[in-house]
Amino acid sequence: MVASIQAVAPHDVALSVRDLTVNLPQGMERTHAVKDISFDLKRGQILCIIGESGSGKSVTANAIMGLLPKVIRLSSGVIQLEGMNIIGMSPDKLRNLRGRVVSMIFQDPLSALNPLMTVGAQIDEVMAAHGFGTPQICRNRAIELLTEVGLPDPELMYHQYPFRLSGGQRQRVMIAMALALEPTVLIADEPTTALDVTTQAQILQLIRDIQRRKGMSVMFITHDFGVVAEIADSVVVMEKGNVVEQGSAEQVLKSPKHPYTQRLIAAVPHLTGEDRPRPEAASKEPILKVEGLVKTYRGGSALFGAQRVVTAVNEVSFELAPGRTLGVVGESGSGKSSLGRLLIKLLDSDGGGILFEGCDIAKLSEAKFRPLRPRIQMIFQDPFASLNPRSTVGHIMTVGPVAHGMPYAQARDEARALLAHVGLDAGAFGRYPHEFSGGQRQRIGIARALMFKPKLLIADEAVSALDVSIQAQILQLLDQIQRETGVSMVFITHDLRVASQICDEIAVMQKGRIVERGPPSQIFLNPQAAYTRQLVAAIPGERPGNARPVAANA
Amino acid sequence: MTKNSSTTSNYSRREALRLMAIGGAAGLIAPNLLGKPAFAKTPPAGPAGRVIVGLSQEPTVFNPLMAHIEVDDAVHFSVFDALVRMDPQGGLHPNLAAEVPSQKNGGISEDGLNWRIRLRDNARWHDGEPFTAEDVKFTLELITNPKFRAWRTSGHSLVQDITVVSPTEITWRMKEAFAPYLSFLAETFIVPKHILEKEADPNTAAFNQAPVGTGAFKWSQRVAGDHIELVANPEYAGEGPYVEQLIFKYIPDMTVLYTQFKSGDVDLVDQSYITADHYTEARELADRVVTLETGSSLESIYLNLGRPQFKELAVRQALYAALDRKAIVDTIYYGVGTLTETFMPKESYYYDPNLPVQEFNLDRARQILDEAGWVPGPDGIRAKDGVRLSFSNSTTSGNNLREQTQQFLQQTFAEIGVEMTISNLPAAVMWGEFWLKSQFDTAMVGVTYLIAADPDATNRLHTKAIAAQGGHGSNTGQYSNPEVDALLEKGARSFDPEERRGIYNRVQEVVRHDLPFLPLFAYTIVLGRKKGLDGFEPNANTRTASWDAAAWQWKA
Amino acid sequence: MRGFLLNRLSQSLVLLVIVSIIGFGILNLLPGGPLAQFGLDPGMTQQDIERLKGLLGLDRPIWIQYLDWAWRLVRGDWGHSFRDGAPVLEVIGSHLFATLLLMGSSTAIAISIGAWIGIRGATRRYSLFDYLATVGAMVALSVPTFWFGLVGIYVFSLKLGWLPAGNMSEIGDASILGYLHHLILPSIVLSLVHVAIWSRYMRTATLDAISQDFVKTARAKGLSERRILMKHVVGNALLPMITLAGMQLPSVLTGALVTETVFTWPGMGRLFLDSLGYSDYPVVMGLLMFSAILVLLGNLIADIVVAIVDPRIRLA
Repeated sequence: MVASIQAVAPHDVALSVRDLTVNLPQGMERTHAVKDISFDLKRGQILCIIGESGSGKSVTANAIMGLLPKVIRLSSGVIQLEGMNIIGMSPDKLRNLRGRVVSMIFQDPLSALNPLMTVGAQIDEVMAAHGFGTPQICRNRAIELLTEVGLPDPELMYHQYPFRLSGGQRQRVMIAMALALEPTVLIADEPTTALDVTTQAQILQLIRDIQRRKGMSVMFITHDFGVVAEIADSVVVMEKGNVVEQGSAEQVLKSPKHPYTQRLIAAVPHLTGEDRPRPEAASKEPILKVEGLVKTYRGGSALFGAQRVVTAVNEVSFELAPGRTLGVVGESGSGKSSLGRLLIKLLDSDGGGILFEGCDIAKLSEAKFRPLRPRIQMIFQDPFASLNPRSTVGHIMTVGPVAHGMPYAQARDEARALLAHVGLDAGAFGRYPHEFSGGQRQRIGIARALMFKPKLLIADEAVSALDVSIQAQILQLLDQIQRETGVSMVFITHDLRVASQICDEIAVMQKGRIVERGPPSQIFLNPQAAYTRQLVAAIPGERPGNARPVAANA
Repeated sequence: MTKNSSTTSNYSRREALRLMAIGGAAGLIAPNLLGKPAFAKTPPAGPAGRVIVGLSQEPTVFNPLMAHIEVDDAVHFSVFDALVRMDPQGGLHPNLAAEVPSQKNGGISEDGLNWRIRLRDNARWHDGEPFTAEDVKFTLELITNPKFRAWRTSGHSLVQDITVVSPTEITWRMKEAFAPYLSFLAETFIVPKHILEKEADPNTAAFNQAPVGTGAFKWSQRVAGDHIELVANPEYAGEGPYVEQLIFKYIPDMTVLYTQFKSGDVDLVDQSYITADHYTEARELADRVVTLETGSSLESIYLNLGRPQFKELAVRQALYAALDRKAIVDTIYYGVGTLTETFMPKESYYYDPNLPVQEFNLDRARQILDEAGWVPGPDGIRAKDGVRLSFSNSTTSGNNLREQTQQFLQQTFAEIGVEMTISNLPAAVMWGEFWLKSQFDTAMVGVTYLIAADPDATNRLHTKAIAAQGGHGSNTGQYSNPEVDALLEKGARSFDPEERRGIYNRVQEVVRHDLPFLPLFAYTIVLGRKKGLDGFEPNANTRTASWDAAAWQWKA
Repeated sequence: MRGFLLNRLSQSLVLLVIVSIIGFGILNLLPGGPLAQFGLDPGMTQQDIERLKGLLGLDRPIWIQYLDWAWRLVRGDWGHSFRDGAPVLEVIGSHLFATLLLMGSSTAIAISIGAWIGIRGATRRYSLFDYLATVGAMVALSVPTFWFGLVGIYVFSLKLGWLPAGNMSEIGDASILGYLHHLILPSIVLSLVHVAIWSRYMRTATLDAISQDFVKTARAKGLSERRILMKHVVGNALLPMITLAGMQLPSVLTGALVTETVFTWPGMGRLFLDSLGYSDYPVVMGLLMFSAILVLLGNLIADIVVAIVDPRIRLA
């Protein structure tokens, strides 16, 4: 066995990875998912593995769990868990380790729980699988665990189905499940990425508390340096399947040595707390004026039974001056996306007005609005889903303007010019969306929107799906375009840090209402509403105006 | 039970029956002859065994007086009796009547208006009640009851003053002399008064689902969509029955019907028989008797004489000469089909065997047209006085064999400078107004001319029967010939078979000369049965092969 | 739940009215009609046909015919068959048993075997078994049922003589064994296609469930593969199957046309075809309403079962 030639890991190392190489099936862009990576997870520490998408961090986690898909082969290396080399171990022995010695929690708590089983049954299951004890003992232990992870009313919670729980509660259930057998190592694969910022802060807190209390070793995978700053004891930075840098959190965050790490840290959007410089005063007339906008959703039938009414947008009012950007921030369910859809009339409003260049478009019929539509354009979150995979980029960009009466030759020339402008080469015109990366696709999306020479851009989570380095580039591009064309922007995001980078003014939404509106300096440094304060406080790794805190080494 | 005392050969019996029909001498023959098998044999001690008859349509109408189709006849003939019945040679025999009424025996008055029928006294209904003249009266009156969904009413509507003289004798008067009525009576089954008179609505009577007759078989049960089960009536007044159980099995798919015949699940294939494409194989099957039997309808090219192209006899003669009928029957219809020159079935006593025989000859066809002045135009199609010799031909779309025939004809007609286009329609459209109101140029159609095997073809050939000109009838080819009209009127009034034969022979002669339609072939059915099934005889004068199940028996 | 049921009931009634109007309309638009069968009968005069039309009420305007039919139906009178004069419900009832027997058994075969093949294929994706199952399903789906039926009859009835060539039972034999003997061939032939369909559905649903995160969670918990499959994968994969099974319910009672014809099985499919052929309006309309009700009922039952099985719907 390979293990025999390896030195036994020192006693204070819970998990040790040496020269791990995982092959990818042929035909992928790389031959290896990870190549010759080595790192140690010290006992009782939190090790953060950070990297952008495709860096191989999740593959590493799955390799340790023995959960790699069959097509991906572990070709060489050693993974020492509690002194045992788990590579080459029989499936049965591996299974015996999973959930008992090493546990894992996942990114999306919504789908990580079986919808058909109660929370209690799913926790019991892990104990039953490892012969923990009688059903009664399991049950008592499960309720104990539910209490431990801070879930309210554990007795009741035990009998609940996952759909009844919020995202944060589900992630707590996942943690309870992972802790059931007191494993030595907990692997957390982006456990807070899908959560709202305030929930994220709570879950990070919980993981850190439990880790300290139990002296557990945690391998925490993330793409967010803010999160690293919050909880990491040591850090491993991965890029394209290689470990480019590792060391203590302090060392890596404060004085990164590798250029990639430096670039990554530089790209992290920080709360600036500084307002954008105002451009020379253009017209005072706002381009967009929203007054008392209301949107309600009705569920169930009006004829029979109870009707559910949800007010998604409630009496929202704001103004937007030409050439300026309004950020709309809020957690999921705050109504920010509905607001965006109302503004470009993808949804019909139930009350209030939307004055676009002085004309109330809220009340216009679809036919009357059509001539105005090119002037208000939208940039979507998922750049791939919003592009027709069977059309060339050139076709995608020209079809709209041509339909609105632009001669094709002109449309083609403008499309080429715009593609160059957003940083794509001329060849992009004849290619298909799948030939581009996520960031490039978002550039195409922006270029397409600009084809109409819009007066107003609605960007709905336009950079949320992108890696931080790409995110920064796109934000820069939007800023540049705004300065060149004077387009106004409504920038919808859940990420306050991103909003602070690009917005002149920020509106904070909660439960359909705008609870606070003001320049970034006010929102981040001197928030007026309690909710805004809560949001700002929850941002991982950020204390605006202050130095970043770094988790102290224990 | 009557006993078979005859040892006459087939031949002599056939001759005897023919004589009987000619002379109307049926009364001379003992009533107990009815239904007797045409061979000498000692009947078994009692009914035994089971016969399964396969049908490709499901019999659903069991009240024989209600509107029904051919396939229902199979059940009616077995459960019920009519006053008279018609044998395969066209001869009439007494059934519930004690003798066949005629002018000779006094059953029908000289002027043909007064009818007197003597009835047999030993017939009983399946429930044990005796059959009497009251039942006959009830039956004839029910048919003309305006609230009753009766089948054919022609003939019956002429009957009036029905009088029950005694339980075994009934008389009525006809509004006018109508000879075909005697044949019609062979398809008029008598229903029980004592059951149906109690029903408020005869259309929905329970009787219609569980009929009670006087016939050789009693109703047992029906499994809807599957089969009908009849059992022997040991009290039957006539000859037979010799089988204990008679099953009519519904097998909708013709291929499956044949397969079940092949596998032995079906003993006899009735309506719609074995398909022609299976004939060659079926003929070779072991322990099966497979025969070709001519039917009563004629496959022909119907010409709409209202169209200018067909007004001239020469055109019709030329087209007829251009029909390669033998090739069509042999290559398209698997050799199943009988060439004929007339609408009268070969089995009919009134069939004229001396008609001129058509000869396929394209040169002759061209010559006829040339002589008549139909000369080819620049497109090769003949024309005369501005009329192009071009027409469409229509039939039921989806009928594969007919469509092949059309293509064959299209080619041969083109060779004599005649253009035929094909324009087929779905059955329900084709045989609706398009056909009935003569909206076609030509049609490929199988037509039955006779009603209840009576030679009277007024409905198809009389000028008064042209519906397109306001007449009542089905003369859809719009054929009109005063001589034929007069002959048909005379024939319908004559009760003398010999005289009628002369009349209808002349009708056939004139029609053969006039060619209002071009005969292709007489329909021929492929009849298959198990070898051991004795007493079976096909009968083209009925619409079912199961017309005389009373005579069937399994060879010991 | 009560509100849900009331809601569904009202929707269903509206749907039934629409279905009946469209059905009645189309039926009456078809040329021919119930008396077309007498078109070539030499003895049926024009007057005879007009007389029958009047007696059947077919001489009235279509909308009056419809209202008359609908009003009778509301009062529970489904009318009488034009063909044999029997009450429509009786006609339907007399064919129901045969169809239920055939469709019930073949559906049971199809669902159980199909589900097994589907699950096995999904868990052993790209294995020889999966490959064979896929090819088999394609063959079963692309070869017409009547061909399977005829080949089955040829091999097992004509050549080997093991099984009857058709029919539901031997005439005069009402024993259960007799029925089963006759049931084997048609129910297998019929289930061939359904096994194919169900195995494909089940394979997709299983793959779908396998790729869910909670299956990965289950693995991470150290559960055995067997328990993961039975408890986490199959349960979730069966959810969409319930809806499909609900859609299958009507066909269990409305029959399979081709198989019934090939095997001379006296079921509902053939009744429908025959009734349509004879333009037996009352029976065709009765069958239409019957199957429309079954479709609604099937969906309702499926929804209720899903609601019972799926806590997300049951407790929402």
